[in-house]
Amino acid sequence: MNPMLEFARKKFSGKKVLAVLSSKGGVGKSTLASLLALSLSEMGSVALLDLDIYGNSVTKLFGMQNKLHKVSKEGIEPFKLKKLSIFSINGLIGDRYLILPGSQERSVVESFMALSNVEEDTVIIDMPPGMGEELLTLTRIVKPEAIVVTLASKLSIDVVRKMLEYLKESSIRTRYFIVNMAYILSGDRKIYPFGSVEEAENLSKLYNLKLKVLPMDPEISKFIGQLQYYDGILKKEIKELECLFSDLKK
Amino acid sequence: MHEWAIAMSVIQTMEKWAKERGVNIMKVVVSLPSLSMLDLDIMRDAFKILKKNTVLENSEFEVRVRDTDFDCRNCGRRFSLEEIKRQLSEVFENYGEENPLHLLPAFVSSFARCPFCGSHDFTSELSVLVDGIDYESDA
Ligand SMILES: Nc1ncnc2c1ncn2[C@@H]1O[C@H](COP(=O)(O)OP(=O)(O)OP(=O)(O)O)[C@@H](O)[C@H]1O
Ligand SMILES: [Mg+2]
Ligand SMILES: [Zn+2]
Repeated sequence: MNPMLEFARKKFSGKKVLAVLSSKGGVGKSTLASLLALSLSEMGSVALLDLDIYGNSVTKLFGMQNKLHKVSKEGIEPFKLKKLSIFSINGLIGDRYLILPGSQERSVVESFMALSNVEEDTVIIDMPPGMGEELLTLTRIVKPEAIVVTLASKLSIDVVRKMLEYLKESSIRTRYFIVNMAYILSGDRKIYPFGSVEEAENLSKLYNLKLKVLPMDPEISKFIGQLQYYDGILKKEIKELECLFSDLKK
Repeated sequence: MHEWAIAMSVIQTMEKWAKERGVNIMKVVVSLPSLSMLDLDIMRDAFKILKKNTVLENSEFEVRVRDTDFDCRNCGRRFSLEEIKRQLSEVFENYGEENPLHLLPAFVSSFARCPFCGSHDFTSELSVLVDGIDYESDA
């Protein structure tokens, strides 16, 4: 019997939960999860949960890394940006390191999800890279829809292939496969720094996923700390992930 | 402040437990890790109010605090909260009342080190636990 788990399950049941995942690190999960949450919040209330215990990036992207969450009778209160509610484990400890044994990782993620006052029906989750305790704990609490991110590089594709296999086997719904930072626009030309996206196309066919190929946008680095003001190409491209947006309209 | 949320988590868990088994719960014993320094009076009030209009309306909730032992995975020694209390006093001073350990005691290994070997690599049971249930079948 685990009251925190039961409580977390009840809290998230019936919500639309989208987890941005990759078995590879540094592919843009936090950036894309944040942009997706921002875009969706232009249509309705959305919560963004940062479950990356060690690499918390979401609060940094919005320039909130020094803020601490307030706690009320209802639990952990979010940082608000218009209709976007942001919850981060970083917001419980501020700008310092965390180091946890595996058994405590579970407890931290479980209690964090249970105690966060998530009122929104749509929840975006920024996950740490890889597949471990955080992913197990998330899926113990709620069945999310996965959005899988990769680079075009063979190395990244090969690692992500295994994650897709796991997701399929575990019946975790996955519709979108994103190749991030795939090309750089140079005038009319597209340069593919990590190689062609052919392998990603093959994988997406194999797993019956919609493929989204995103460019590199050098502008994005200027918006680290103020992502809420970014309105560049990545944001426009993300709004083309139609299924995710039409779900919200329903 | 999150005492209410914790009480709610226990109520929901016990409601489900009772319904699944078709039993009537007379008493629940809940234990909280001393590290989280939850306010027992608030917890008791929360139970009193939250159980109203549930199948637990007439159940008694006993709340107690339990001490925690810590096991170092590096040197294999065991130690008590008392032995790391001095290290933790900084956390209580820096963060004030809603400090991270109050909210999520599982953070503890980030804020303290094993008193024997200095490692952060130690574990303990810091969940809210249901230690006992007295019940009778409904029929
Ligand atoms: N499309 C893009 N164009 C340019 N830069 C990008 C793009 N996507 C992400 N980046 C940059 O790449 C870096 C890694 O991005 P991010 O932190 O979002 O990746 P991540 O997958 O969340 O990493 P981690 O695995 O550590 O959590 C950041 O500096 C980010 O600004
Ligand atoms: Mg990240
Ligand atoms: Zn030790």
